[in-house]
Amino acid sequence: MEYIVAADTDIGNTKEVNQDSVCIRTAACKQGKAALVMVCDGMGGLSKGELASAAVVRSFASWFEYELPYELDNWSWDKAEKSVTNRLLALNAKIIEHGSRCNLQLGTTVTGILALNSDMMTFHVGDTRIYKLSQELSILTEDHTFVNREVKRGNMTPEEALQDPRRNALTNCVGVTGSVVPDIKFSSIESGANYMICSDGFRHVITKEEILDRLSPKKVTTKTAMQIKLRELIDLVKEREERDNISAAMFRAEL
Amino acid sequence: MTKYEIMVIAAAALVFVLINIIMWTIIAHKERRSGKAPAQVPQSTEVPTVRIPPPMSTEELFVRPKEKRSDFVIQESITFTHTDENL
Repeated sequence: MEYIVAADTDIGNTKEVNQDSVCIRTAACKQGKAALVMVCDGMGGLSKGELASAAVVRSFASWFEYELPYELDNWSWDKAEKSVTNRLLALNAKIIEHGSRCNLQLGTTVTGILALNSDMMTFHVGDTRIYKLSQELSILTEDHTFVNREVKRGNMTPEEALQDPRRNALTNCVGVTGSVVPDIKFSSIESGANYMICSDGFRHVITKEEILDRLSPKKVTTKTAMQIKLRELIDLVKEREERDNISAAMFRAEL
Repeated sequence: MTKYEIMVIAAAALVFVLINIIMWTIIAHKERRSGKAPAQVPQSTEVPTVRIPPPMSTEELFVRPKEKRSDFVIQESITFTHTDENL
């Protein structure tokens, strides 16, 4: 069994700071293989988004390295869900408290995969997405955005949502309000499929067909190939004058 | 309302009051009796109390409490962050 991972990030064309943070860890343990893959997009409209996103990835990286090994001794996915949810709630409180103390408002999206052997749990807050690329491309997360909510309610068409000035407004994120509700899902890992987590800056100006074509699980099977193709897509996005930070992480399991 | 209807309502109210008087008298009597002689509960039937730990504080969640495990080997480690500041 092997986990193959890669990631890339870019400040983009216009921003002064890259407010995205990315974290990947894989480990060999007595239970088999474990992996954590996360992308956090600090909120650009608010101050210090890079601090909020960095705090989240650092906390989860530390949890993976120092606490998860002990949790694996008596493992259940229910406990994993509680562990991740509690951590997100605590981070939410900590970021709010920091903002209050420093007279700032900061926040971040959080989207990640926790994998153990052939199973995985996804956790998600915001509009960073998880794509699964196999025979076709599917999106494993729902955007927590105002426009997505309006489209689901039938108040807006998907085409209107793309042009709406509120398309980046989030309804759920970490660090802004007292309430954070992560979407947690469990599934089996499809062997040989590519999973890609990306910030919204990565996907605004490219199509799903382009993503599937460049990151196809038939062609992109190694870490090097992942790194090359992610950088190609980032350069393409920048050529198309994307204004936001651009980040993506990939994960593949050969079971 | 007719006289008959008023009488029915009054009778129902009276029955209600009587039932309450009887019920609360019995309860008060039982409490007086238990106050004089506390019930003897054999140890074997005592229900152990379970202390539910409070939820973790933000400080507890951010303290690294444990040593690294030698049977958990990090193979890939990629981190991109863009600030040296901490919360």
